[in-house]
Amino acid sequence: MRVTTKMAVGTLVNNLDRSYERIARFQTELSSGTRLNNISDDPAAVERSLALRGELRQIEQFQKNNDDGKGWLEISEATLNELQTLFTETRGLAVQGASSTYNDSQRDALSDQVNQFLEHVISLSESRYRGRYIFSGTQTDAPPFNAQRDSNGDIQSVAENGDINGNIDRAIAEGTTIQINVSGGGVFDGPKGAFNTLIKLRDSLRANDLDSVRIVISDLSDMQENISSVRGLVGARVNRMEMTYNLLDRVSVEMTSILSEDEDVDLASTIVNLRQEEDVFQAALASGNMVIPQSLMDFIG
Amino acid sequence: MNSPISHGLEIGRRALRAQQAALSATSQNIANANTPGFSRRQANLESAASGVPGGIGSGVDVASIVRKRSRFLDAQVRVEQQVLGRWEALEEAMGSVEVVFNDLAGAGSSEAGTVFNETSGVGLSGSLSRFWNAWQDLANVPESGAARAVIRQEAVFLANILHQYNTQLRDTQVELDRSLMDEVDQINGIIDQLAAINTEIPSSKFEGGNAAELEDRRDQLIEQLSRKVDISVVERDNGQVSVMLSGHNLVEIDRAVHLRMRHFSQNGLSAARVFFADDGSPAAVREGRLQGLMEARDEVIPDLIVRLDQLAKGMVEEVNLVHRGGFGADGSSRVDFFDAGKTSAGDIAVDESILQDLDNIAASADGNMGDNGTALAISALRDKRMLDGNSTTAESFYNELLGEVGARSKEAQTMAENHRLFDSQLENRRQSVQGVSLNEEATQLILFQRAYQAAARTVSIVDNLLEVTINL
Repeated sequence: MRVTTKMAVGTLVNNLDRSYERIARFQTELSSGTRLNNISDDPAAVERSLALRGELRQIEQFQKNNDDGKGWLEISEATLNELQTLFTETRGLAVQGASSTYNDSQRDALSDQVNQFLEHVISLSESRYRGRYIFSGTQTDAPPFNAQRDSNGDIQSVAENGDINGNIDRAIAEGTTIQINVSGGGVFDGPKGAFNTLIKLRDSLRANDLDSVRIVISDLSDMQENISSVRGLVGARVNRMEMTYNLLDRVSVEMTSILSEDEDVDLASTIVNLRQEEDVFQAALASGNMVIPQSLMDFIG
Repeated sequence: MNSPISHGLEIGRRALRAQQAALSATSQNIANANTPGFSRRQANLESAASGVPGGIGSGVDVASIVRKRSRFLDAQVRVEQQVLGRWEALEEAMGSVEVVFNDLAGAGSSEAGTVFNETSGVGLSGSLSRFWNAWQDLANVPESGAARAVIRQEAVFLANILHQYNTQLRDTQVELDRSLMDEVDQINGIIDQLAAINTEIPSSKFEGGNAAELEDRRDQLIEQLSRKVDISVVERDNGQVSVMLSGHNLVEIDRAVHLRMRHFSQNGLSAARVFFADDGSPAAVREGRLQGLMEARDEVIPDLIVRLDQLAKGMVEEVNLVHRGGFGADGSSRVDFFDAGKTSAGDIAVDESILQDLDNIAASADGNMGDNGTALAISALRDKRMLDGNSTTAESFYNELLGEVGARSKEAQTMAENHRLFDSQLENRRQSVQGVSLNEEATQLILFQRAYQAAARTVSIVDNLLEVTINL
């Protein structure tokens, strides 16, 4: 093939251009730390990476929801625990009061103690998590129960304050929500009604009505059982949430590593490539410098 | 056999003239070694017949000065230029489109920082995720004003990004429009020049004249034209060319038919068509820069704008539908979250009532403060296949769109690069035929110089002989 001066120069310039372009590309990758500096660098990887990043943001949010929900359930659990202790103690008082060895004034004292417990149960029913009543269903801005008091300030009856059985859910994984509240009705208005049982016990002790006190003892056992089963439910939910949380943790780690494969620069190989390309570029420059100025013209005259 | 001594003188004179002509051709070649479009000249020498049977001949003649050129390679280069022109125009246009989606770095997100914004969460994809997440934050604290403020802020940000994408795409379209006008002007200019050259070529060729310069210029213009539009060229024996575009004459002898661009509206977006100026018939352009620019302007960008509109519409309708069924912090209901009357990427906006009062943002499905049913339902729209005939979610709809922009841009880059390579190979092959080799010209110089010297020597020897004869 006949090779002309312009061909040699043109080919050199083309090759220099292409080599320099590759150098610039490796340079950009190394300085930005990512392979994806433009959408067109690897459109498929960009699409994957966007989807993964979207999912990672979602997982982060699910874990945030999960933490918040667990906080709610833990407050519920602590309250339930105290309720159970309280009912155990109340049952102790009832058993003492049912004993024929106690006299009237001793029963009066027991009755006062039961009244104190009743007040405590009311205040437990008004437990709050971040300012929200946890046993009010979705009416988180109002206490769950209204107490009617007589002229002495003693509680005569307790009624639900509107609908306190609404569900509050948290989204903890894709398509999975979990109820994080326990309904006030379910806990306090169980089979016999916590408040009614305590009011009945208080009044029976005051009235020395031992038969009635004995009935209350078995009611109290039912209450304890009810709270136990609610606690079991809460515990199961916390477990489930923790399992979900850990699962998402693992998914997130895996996704991050896939993401890194798509996005991050393989430092070692990119540096080696850059070095190689630099050598090519230098060689092209040097050969151009040697060959282009030369022609037969230099030797005639 | 008789031969007068003066005949030798004549041969010498002719030889001097011929070698000088060849030297001129060589110096012309050297002078134009770097001139684009130049084809090297070659002086064809021929031994002149004596005119007498059995004569020894009359020396040398310059039969012709030819332009070294390969018609076959010329034709190949033209076709290649048409394809290359289209891909290069697309490469440039797609580059600008890509930048639209790249160019929002630092627009107010904590995740900003890297060069390519979408992975950094500044772009629409990140904004969508954060919008849905903000609803879950509200679901965690449905009574909260702060969580509502975050939702409003993310929604406004989302709307702004859609506005910016829309505006920038339309701006790019206007830019492309200017380039298109420019191309058409240039095409018309080239056509005029070709028609002018057509009228000159036959007269310069007349009586054995040489039209090489004009022909070089003509071929170069045809090549420039090929890059812009897919023409076909027919050359006549007298050196005139006819240039045709989709079966319609652009240049016929001295007549040039200009192209005109006309805009018309298509689904609310302006589109451009190219027409022939003489009879107003549409020009079917298939290759060349013109086609590349039109493709980007009238197909790629409108498609993207329409799809962003679909995304905006989907978001407005789906979010509003759920939101209207919920209750705000002040018990309000049947309130739109996005302005229901603004459903395109260009005008999507958060509803005025939400902008006025955050309490209008609905979290509750049952009207109670603590309920988060509506907030959860809206955040669950993230996974709802709301777009493309209920086949894809908002986020993946956008990711796909972006992937497609990238793929198209990459395709244009790769194709343009391939065709540049192919073009430079063709150009090399052509230069191998028509290009000037300084080494070759240097040898020619020596060759003709020596021949000239020798011819001069012959003349002086013949002169000596004559002198001898005269002094007999």
